[in-house]
Amino acid sequence: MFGYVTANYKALSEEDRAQYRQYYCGLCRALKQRYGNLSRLTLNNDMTFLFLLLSSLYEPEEDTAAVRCVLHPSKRMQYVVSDQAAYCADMTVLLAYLKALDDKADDGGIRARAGVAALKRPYLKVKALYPEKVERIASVIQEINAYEAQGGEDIDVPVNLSGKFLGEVFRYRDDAWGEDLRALGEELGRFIYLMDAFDDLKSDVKKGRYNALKPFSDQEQFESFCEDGLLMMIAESARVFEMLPLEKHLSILRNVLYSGVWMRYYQKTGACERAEDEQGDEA
Amino acid sequence: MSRSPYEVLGVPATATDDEIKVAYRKLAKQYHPDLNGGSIAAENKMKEINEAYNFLIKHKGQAQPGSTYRQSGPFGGYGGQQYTYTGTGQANPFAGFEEFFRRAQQSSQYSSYSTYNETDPRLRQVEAAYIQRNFALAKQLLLGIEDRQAAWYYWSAMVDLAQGNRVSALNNARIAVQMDPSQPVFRALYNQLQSGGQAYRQTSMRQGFIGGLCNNPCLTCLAVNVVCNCCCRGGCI
Repeated sequence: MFGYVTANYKALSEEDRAQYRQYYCGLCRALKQRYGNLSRLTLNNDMTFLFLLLSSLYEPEEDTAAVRCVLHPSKRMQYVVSDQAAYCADMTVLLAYLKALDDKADDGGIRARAGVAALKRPYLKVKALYPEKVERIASVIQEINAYEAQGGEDIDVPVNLSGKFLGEVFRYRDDAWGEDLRALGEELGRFIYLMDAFDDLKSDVKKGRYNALKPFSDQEQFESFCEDGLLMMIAESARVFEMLPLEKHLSILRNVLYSGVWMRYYQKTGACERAEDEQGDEA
Repeated sequence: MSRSPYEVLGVPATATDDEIKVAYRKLAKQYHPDLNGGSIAAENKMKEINEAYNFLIKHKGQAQPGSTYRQSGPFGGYGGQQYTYTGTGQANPFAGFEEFFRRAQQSSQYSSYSTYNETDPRLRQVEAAYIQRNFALAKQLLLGIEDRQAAWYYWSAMVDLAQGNRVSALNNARIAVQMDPSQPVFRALYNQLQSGGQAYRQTSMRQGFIGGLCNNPCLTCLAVNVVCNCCCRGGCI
């Protein structure tokens, strides 16, 4: 379920792209420093969004540094260091581990098994840091997996659980912002679950796998129903977002919430490719 | 003498939401209790700032009973209402039944709800359970009905919504409208469920994005181009 909360890169200004990059690299560096080189494979855009969001909300003291990175040997990459980077790195390995566990249970393939083996120690470290949070997240994921395994037909069950799960990830601290962040994450989690189901529907049906949208897929105007559902969730997420007094990175964060989150959808439906290209050229 | 929330935040009444956010951040940093050694004056100032921000940003368009901006209170001029800064408590509005109705009541379209009379006796039982907020019973009653007409889907959507099952609610409301397009109450519910998405699209367009506009690709592209041409030159994303 990763990769949906991303930026519409083409529509970012030059300056914003550089900023985005700094945070992306910051998360990558935090992963390396906390969990070793291998953990950098788990780096993703979704947690980069959380990193940017938390940085905007808390405006923490940040250090920037530059490093020549294996992945970009030709130039020195700027990156941001902060407490929020560390938290997002922790959540990144946690989610990657739980995903690998799920994959392992699904197909038992070598990749999943290798993932579980490699991420076991980072996971235990995260668990020691936030025992209650990890407990809550892991149990929600178990609930989702169990519901899917029994072939449950009520789509709102996994959708709402998925929201609960991401809400917990977004609640950085139990402080004044905790509730707003949780609410934002919760709606985003619902959106991601639906998007993932929409994205995988054809292949799931073909392979006889569970998909929460399957019971709806024969209905009239199925696609517009999916789009309305997606819109409903992302709209709530954006509504909560717009209540937060954010200033920094605002254009990047809005790019993600109003455009980037639809990139995969456009790709899938093909309907807006032209618009997207044209918009990219304009910006 | 009471000041308007704009005056409290030091912005003109024409300020955009983003300008209000910036002003709030600046003041919040200045008067944050942690930075003022627990000074009562700073604490009160902070309350006042929070109230003004809540009124302008958090509660806008969500008129609540008694939510008029007020400053009279025991602290002479400062907020009489305790505002603890722990989120909205309604951050997940659609999950709950009350929030939905609070919003629904504002929607003029939805006022027709009160004039809708359910005639099917089995659905009247559902309605009764619904009014008593026994949603589990309402659901059970619904599942016991075999012949499902538009009104069945309407009540299913209402119960789904009350139980926080928004995807099912959307689907059932949609089917109700498809089966009986002439019933304004069904249409109103369906529109209500889509209203958030429409607002999101508008915001998205205003910012020059094309977020989720794939219903009608040709129209969409056209609209996007118009918006982009107007707005992207101004330097927004």
